[in-house]
Amino acid sequence: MESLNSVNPQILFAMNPEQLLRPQVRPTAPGDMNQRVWQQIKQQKQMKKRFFRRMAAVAAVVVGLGISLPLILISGANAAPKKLLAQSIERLVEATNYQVEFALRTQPNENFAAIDPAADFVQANFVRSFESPYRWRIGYREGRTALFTGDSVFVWLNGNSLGFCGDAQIQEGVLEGFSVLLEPRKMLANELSVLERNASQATMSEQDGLISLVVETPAKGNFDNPYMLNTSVGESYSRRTYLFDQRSKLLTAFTIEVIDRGAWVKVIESQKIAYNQPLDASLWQVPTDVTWRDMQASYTNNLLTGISAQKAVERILEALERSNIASVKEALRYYDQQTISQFYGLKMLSVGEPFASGSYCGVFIPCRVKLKDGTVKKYRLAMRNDNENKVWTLDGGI
Amino acid sequence: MEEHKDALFSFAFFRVGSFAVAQDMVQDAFVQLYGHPKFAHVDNPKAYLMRTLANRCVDYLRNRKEHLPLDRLVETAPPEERAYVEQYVQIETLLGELPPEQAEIVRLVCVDDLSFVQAAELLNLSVNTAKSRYRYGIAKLRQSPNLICNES
Repeated sequence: MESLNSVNPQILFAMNPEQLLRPQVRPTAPGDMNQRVWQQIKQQKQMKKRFFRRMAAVAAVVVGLGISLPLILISGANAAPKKLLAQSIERLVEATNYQVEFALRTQPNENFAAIDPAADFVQANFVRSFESPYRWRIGYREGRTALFTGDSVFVWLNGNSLGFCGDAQIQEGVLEGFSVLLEPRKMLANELSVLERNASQATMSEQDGLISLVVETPAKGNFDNPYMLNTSVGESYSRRTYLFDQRSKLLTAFTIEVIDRGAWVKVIESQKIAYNQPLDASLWQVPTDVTWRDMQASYTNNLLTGISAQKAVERILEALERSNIASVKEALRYYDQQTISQFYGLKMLSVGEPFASGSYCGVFIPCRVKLKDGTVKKYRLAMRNDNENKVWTLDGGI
Repeated sequence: MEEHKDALFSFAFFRVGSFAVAQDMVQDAFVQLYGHPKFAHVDNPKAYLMRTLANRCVDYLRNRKEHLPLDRLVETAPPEERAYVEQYVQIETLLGELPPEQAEIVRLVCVDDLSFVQAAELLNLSVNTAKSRYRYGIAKLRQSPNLICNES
């Protein structure tokens, strides 16, 4: 193509600006763009993982349950579903333990309760003992596992020698939405609570000795930027279907669907629910081949406090550029050395404006970096500073 | 995607001046469109994508860490991009002489080949305002020393 600079100056002068501004040849998009877009959608879903999110609101509902149940007013809209839920919760008080085998659409190493409507189903199981010590265990097949021994929580990933631990206070943070979804008492209490607030629509029907209850709720959170839409049940327009045994009023099955691109997609399905089964002691054993890192250690890094999230990302990337993360190590607590060293020697190309999405307590910062091998990568780093000293930490996105 | 990708790629390239960045921008815009909660109800996907792209390009230009002067862009461009980058430099040099609101409408009409109706809709302006900004912009460019100095 002949460039404009090589055009005879006399001719150039004769051109009017409109001619000069019209490109003589337009670039065309690379042939593999379609493929790259779909690949990016897939990768982005994987990058959305955050390690732990706190579900304080949910915890509050559950903590208050023991006192509030007798006071629940079974009247007004959704009266029949509310009565059924209250009866079922009452029956569950007699249970000593609960086990559910279920399948959900996600990645095996994803954080709990994260969903991906486009992913395949992962097999999972959850066990909860209601007898002292109150213990639970959840595991994804060949993926993430968490265990609460009655006083400590342990989380580890399949094939990773680094695990995380903390005391009973972090249970809700580790289980995220599953702290409600997987314990029938909490799950039903939560549904009862949203029906009380008329925040959901419920329908009930009876057939073949089973009562079916269907509850629909809009996505919760801020979706001006839809990045986090459909990444958890709470952040989706969801429809939960519960089946109860008509006689005992006990929960026997549940299914959760979300609306994804205009269609209902089943994302979680219980396969077997059992109560009061003998539990094997090995369920509560803590792995011995994992190095445990304390999730509750205080954040004290002065370099990453009192600044914007954007600036904090720049400081973290600068440390990775220098291949020396000593100054920001605290912010990378949830990453093992092997993962971190993949980013050594990178070159920071741009750090964008932060945005919020869904119900995430922090912000996401888009950035572009050139890795040591020359490939250019884009990330949306999840940054949060909801700790005692307001220190920014990298919570996910790589 | 197939229908719009070339136009969108050109749209992004003539704002950022780099194939790699333009490609990223277009991909991101498609990803954002497909992840939009009301994706099925977006009436005019091309307009939505252009608006998204224009915003992303502005963000990119504001936040980039490497800022090469225009006259060094051509020499640092990969050989296969060089001819296009020369056009980009030429366009940026001319549009750089205009106030941003005139530059944007001139860019949409001349560089991106949009009609006044399409350009006005994208900028949320009346067609008359778009036309008058365009007219002022072009009149100003006719007096451009960049063009006149080429005469000698």
